[in-house]
Amino acid sequence: MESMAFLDALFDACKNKKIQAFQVQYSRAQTQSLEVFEQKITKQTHNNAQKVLLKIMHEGKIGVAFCENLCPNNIDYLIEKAKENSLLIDCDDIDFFYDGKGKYKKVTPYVPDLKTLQDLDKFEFLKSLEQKSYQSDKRINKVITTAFGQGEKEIVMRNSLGLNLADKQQFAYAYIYLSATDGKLVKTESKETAFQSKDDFDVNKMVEDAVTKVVKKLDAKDISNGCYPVLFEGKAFNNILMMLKGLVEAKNVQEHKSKFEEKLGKTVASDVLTVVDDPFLSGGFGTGAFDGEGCPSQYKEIIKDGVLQTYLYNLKTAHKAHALPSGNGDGNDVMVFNFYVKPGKKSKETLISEIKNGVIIDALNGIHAGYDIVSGDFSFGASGFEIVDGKIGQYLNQFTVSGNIYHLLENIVAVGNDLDFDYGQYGAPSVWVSSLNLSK
Amino acid sequence: MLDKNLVQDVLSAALETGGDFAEVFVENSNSLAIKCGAGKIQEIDEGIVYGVGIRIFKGLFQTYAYTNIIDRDNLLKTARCAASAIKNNNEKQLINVVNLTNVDLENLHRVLRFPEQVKKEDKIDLLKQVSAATYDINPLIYRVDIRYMDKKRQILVANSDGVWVEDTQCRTRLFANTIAQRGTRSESATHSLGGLKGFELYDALDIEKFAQENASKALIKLDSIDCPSGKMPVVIHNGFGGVIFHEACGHALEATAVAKGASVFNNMQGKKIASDIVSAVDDGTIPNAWGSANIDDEGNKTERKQLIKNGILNSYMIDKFGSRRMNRRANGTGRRQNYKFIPTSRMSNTFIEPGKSSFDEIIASTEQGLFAKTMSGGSVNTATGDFNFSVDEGYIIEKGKIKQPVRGAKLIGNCADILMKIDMVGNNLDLACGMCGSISGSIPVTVGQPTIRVSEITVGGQK
Repeated sequence: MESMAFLDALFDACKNKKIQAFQVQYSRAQTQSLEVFEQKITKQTHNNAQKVLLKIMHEGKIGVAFCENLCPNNIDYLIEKAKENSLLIDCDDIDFFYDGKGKYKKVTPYVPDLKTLQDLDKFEFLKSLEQKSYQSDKRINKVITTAFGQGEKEIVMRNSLGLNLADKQQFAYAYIYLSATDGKLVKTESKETAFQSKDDFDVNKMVEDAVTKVVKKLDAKDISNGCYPVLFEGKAFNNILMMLKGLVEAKNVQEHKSKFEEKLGKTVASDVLTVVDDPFLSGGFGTGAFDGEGCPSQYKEIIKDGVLQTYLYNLKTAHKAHALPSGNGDGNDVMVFNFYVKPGKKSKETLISEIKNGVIIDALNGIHAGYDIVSGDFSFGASGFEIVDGKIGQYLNQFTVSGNIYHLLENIVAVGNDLDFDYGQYGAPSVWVSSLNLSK
Repeated sequence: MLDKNLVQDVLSAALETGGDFAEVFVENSNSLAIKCGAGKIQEIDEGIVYGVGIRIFKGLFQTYAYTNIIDRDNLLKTARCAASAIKNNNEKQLINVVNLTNVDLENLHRVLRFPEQVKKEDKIDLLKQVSAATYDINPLIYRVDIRYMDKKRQILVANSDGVWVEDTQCRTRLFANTIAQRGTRSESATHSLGGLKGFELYDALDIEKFAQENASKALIKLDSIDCPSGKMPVVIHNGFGGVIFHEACGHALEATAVAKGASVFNNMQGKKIASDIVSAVDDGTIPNAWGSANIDDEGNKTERKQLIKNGILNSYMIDKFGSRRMNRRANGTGRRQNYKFIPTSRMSNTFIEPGKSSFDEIIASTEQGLFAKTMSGGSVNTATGDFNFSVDEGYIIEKGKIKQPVRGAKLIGNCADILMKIDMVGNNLDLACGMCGSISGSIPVTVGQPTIRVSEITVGGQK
C-alpha cells in the first residue's frame, strides 16, 4: 500500500474499533553510499526503508507495536498488539499524548549544499581523496576506507487529539580512514565532512587534516602513570557530554540512578560550565521544531555557571515531577537537539600555555563499557598528546583515563573558545580538567 | 517467504548489467521486548522487521540495495537500481536464467516453545518472579530492572549459484540490572542469560540462583576500593572474561579487517601469534548457543573453525565478498543485524579452549595482581591492535589469595603483545552471551574461555 493511504486506513481502523486515544508515527529513510578502495569503487548502496509505529493508550498506559511492510493485514496486527500491550503495563506512571496546540518555531536546520553536491563527481572525489593521501606523505601505509553518503529522512506524526506534524531532513558526508607507519608503529586516523558549505568539498583540506594528524602520532611515547591536568579536545569531551545527558534525564533521576536528584538550583559543576540545549541553532545538526512526542522544542540552559537549572523531561516524567514538559520527549526516552558546552573566551593555545605540563586527550575509546551511571565511575581507553612547557609535545600511545563524572564536572578549570560540533548534535570546546588519573 | 519464480526474476534482473553473482536476502523477524522496573511492567514493544536486500558482485565490486516495499514491480526496480552501479561495456542486456534449488538443511537447533506459543502473561510472570527474588536477597537492593527479549527471525537466502535456503532462528534473552545502595554510595551490576532457543530456556532457570548472582555482584561492589593502576599480572575469569579474546584477537581475524590488509594479523597464517598454551575456536554450530545458527546470512552452513592451535594462527573468519579479495573459501561467517546491512565476516561463539591448570592453582601461583571476575565489554582498533575493556567485578590478588574488591578498572593493551603473555590456561571453560557491534550491525555472539592469566597487562584505575 502507498504509505499515506496506509496511515489513513490505520487511523480510520482505530476510530472504527473505538480506540479512544492513539498515535501513529511514520518514518522513511532513503540513502545512497559509495566506497572507493585502491582507485576502484568497491561498494555502492541504494536503500529505502519505512516503518509505521502505532501507540495505543489505555488508562494512561501506552502500548506500542510497529511494522515495516505496509500491507493491509498489518493494520489489524498493529491495533491488536498495541492494545494488548497497553493493557499489560501496570506501572504507576501516567503517560500522555500531545494535542499539537502549542506554538512551533520555524527552524533552519543543517542542509547539505545540494547544488554543489549535484555537480560533484563522487567517484572522482573519493579517488582523489585516496590518491592524494598516499602522495602527501610516504608514511601513509593504507587508506583503509574512503566513503561518500547522502540521503533524506522523513517523519510524520499524527494522533487522535489532533496532532499532525511532518518533517524532512537531508544529509551528505564524506569519510576517510587511513593508517600510517614508520616501519614499526602503525597509527590510524579518520576524518569526516558533512558538505555544509563549499569549503567542505576541499579534498586537499581533508587530506591535510587526516595525514598531518596520523603522521604526528608516529612520534609516540608511553605516558608515565600518575595524575595529570587534562585538556579534552571538543570531540573527546562530546563523549563526556553524552554521559552528562544521562545524569540530567528526569527518568534516571526518578529511578534514583542519577545523583542529581534534588539538585535543581544547586551547584553541580564548576562555575565555568554552562550546558545548553538549543533546538533553534541555525544550520545545527540537531535543529528541530518538535520533539519525538510532537511537543514544541525549547531553548534551555541545563547547567548555568555550574548550577543545575532543569532536567530533561518527556510528557510522562514531567507529569510525575509536576513540571512542565521540556520538549525533550522521545517515547519512553528523551532526546536532545544541539546539546553543547557554551564556549569561553580563551583559545586552545592559551589554555595549553596556562596548563604548562599535562596531557591533551583527543579521543576516548570503550565508552559503551567503561562507565557506570549509578556510581559515576568511569575508566576509558584514551589517546592524545603531552603538554610540555606550555606547548604540544609528543603523541601518547593508548593509555587509560579514570575518574568519576561528578568530580570531573566540579574540577573543570576553564573552557576554550573553540566550540566544535564535529558534524553532530553534541558540541564542546576544549575543556581543562584539573586532575585525572592516567595509566599505561 | 517469497515466490520462487519472483526471486528468480529478481536475480536475473540483478545480473542484467553484467554482475557475476547476485543474492537476495529476505528477512521477516517478529520481536518482543518487555521491561520490568521496580517490580512493575514499564514498557512493552513489539513488531515486525520485514525487508529484502539485493546484492550483486562483479569482481571486487559489490553493490547493495534494500527495500521493504515488497511487491514484484518494486523488487525488480530495486534489483535494477543496484545493477545500474555496474557498467556494462557491451551495452547489450545480458540474459541470465537462474534456477534455484532447495538446500536441505539439518536443523541443529531445535526449539520447543516458540515465542508465539507462550502467553505474554507467562513472560511477565517470569520477569516479576526474577525481580521479586532479587529484591528479597538483601534490603540494600533498592532498584531492580529486568528486561526480556524474544525474536523469531525467518530468513531466506537465494543466489545466482542456484542456492535457495531458509532458516528460522529463535532467540530469547533475560537481562537484569540491579542497584545496591548503602548510605550515599550506590553500585550497579548486570547479569544475563540467553540462547538460540524458545521459552524452554527458562524451564531450567533457577530463579533464586540467578537473582543471587546478580545481587551479590552489586553488594560486593559497595565494599570495593579504588583499583590500583599500572602494569600487573591479571587473572581473567571464565565465561564473559572471554571478551578479552573477542576484542584482542577475534576482530583482527575477521576478513573485514584482513581482506584489505588492515589487520595486525595480516599474512600471519601458520605463524605464531599467541603463547603455546593458547588454542581458540569460533564455532557457529554449537546446539542452541546464543551465537549459533544453521546458516549464516549469506546462506552458507556455519562451521567450527580452529582459529589458533597451540599459539599458531590457523584460520581467519571469511565472508563471501572477503573471500574474493583473499582468494580463500568463505567459511560461514557472513552475518548482519538485519536486511539493512551488507553482511560481513563476524564471530559467532568464540572461545579459548580449556588448558590444564585448575582455578585454584592459577590464583595460588599469583603473588600480586588483579582478578577480573566479570567483564563488561570493550573495543579494538584492528589496524593498530590497540584494545581496551572494562572490568565489572574485580579483586586484588595478594600472596596467592583473592582479597578486596576493586572498582573502575580498565584493561588496555595491544593484540600482538597480549596473546603472547597468556601464561596459564585453566580447565574450567564457560561461555557467556553478549552483543557485538561492527559495520554489519549489532549481532548476538557468545564469548568464552576458561580462567586465564596474563603475565602483564596495563590496568587503569583511580589509584
